[in-house]
Amino acid sequence: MIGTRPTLWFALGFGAVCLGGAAASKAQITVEGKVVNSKGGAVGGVDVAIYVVGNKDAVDSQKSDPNTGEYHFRKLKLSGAFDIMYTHSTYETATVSRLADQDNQHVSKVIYLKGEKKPLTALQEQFLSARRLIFLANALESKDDRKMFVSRFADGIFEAPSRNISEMSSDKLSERMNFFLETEQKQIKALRDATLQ
Amino acid sequence: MPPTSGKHLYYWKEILTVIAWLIALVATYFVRREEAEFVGWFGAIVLLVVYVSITLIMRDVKRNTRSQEILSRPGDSLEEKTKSIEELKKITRRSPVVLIIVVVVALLSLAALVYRPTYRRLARHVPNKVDFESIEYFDPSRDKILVEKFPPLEAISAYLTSEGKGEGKNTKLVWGAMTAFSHPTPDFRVSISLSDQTELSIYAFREHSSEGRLLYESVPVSYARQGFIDFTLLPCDSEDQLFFLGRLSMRDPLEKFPTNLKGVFAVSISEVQR
Repeated sequence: MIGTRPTLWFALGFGAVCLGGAAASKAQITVEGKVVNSKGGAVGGVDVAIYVVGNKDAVDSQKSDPNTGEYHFRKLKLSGAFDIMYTHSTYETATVSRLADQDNQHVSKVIYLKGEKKPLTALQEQFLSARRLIFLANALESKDDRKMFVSRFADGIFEAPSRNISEMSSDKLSERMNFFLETEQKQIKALRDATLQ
Repeated sequence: MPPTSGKHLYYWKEILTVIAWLIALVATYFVRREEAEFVGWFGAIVLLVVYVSITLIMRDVKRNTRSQEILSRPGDSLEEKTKSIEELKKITRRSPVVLIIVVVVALLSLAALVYRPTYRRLARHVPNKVDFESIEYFDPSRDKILVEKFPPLEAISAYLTSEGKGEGKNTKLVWGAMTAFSHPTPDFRVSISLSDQTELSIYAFREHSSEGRLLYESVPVSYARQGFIDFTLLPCDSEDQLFFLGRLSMRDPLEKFPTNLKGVFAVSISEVQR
């Protein structure tokens, strides 16, 4: 019993040093990029926000530059992998998910006008963004927080589930692809409704 | 006619049915008051008419049987037989009246049930014209009543203003309401055309009245067509109204904001392509 005490103290001390070291080594990173529209033009005034799963509010947010569409977050200290959310009243909300919190990131994003026809890959990505938002909302404990989180992005991204796939796609749709996207649309609708209940 | 065996069970079943109906009605009153009131009054009137009709029919059947007995018995006096014939004549005259009342009540009940869905189906069409009831610059301090009526307007106006500042533009908020629909409508598209000099970003809503409460529902907006903003409306009821809050900016920063907004924006409608 006497012999085990120094070993225990050593183990506790070593653990504390390791934890302290890990906290101290938490990197400060830079996240920057540009927001462009489907024609490649810079989009200014877009709200670019950094979210970490489980938080109802953004860790940080800023507007993209009115002339260049660029954004820069410097010295960001994040507690885990993060998402970037792009919101604007005339554009559909878009997300980029699970970026590493240990490295600097350069993310340039194409966003589409509300109701604008887009390629199938972009359409599927819009659905993924909607799913991601629903997921982030579900990570919140309080029902009111979940509702508020979803309603913050209600206009725009969640309009997609109620439109015809053919109305949204600029590509020709095969029957198989139409079925796939319609199924995805129905699932998002059900997930959103379940989140709000 | 109640059965001769299990008579108690028969009457208890009748009593329990009425009690269950009353409990359901009272419970409904607290959840869907308008429907409960209608069902209550309608049910009470139908029950009264049915009760009176059945009582009259039963009485006539009894009198009919008694008259037949008197007429078929050879010993009865002529006076009694004449009375019975008169009674039969009365019954013959009254029966069609009772029958007509019962049929009329049945038809009215049926009409009351199918009236609303039938009206909605037959009267539903795309309106010939939709126009602005009002469109003017929005001032949160002046238009407090609007914000009190629909509190999210405050957050939306703050968001639109901050976004406009982020774009580095001169902006003004615009509040617009379309004329309420005079009949039910199917899904259709309302478009606002913009002049080349203006840019408009909006959030649109539908005001719908249900059980005495006003409900607001977000309406999808599309900026896909250059020079237009399109709203796709889902089926609406009569008296539903479309309104929006938007941010107006001028493409040329030196250009002055228009004073008469009705002269700048025009509304048109189109059917949704299927």
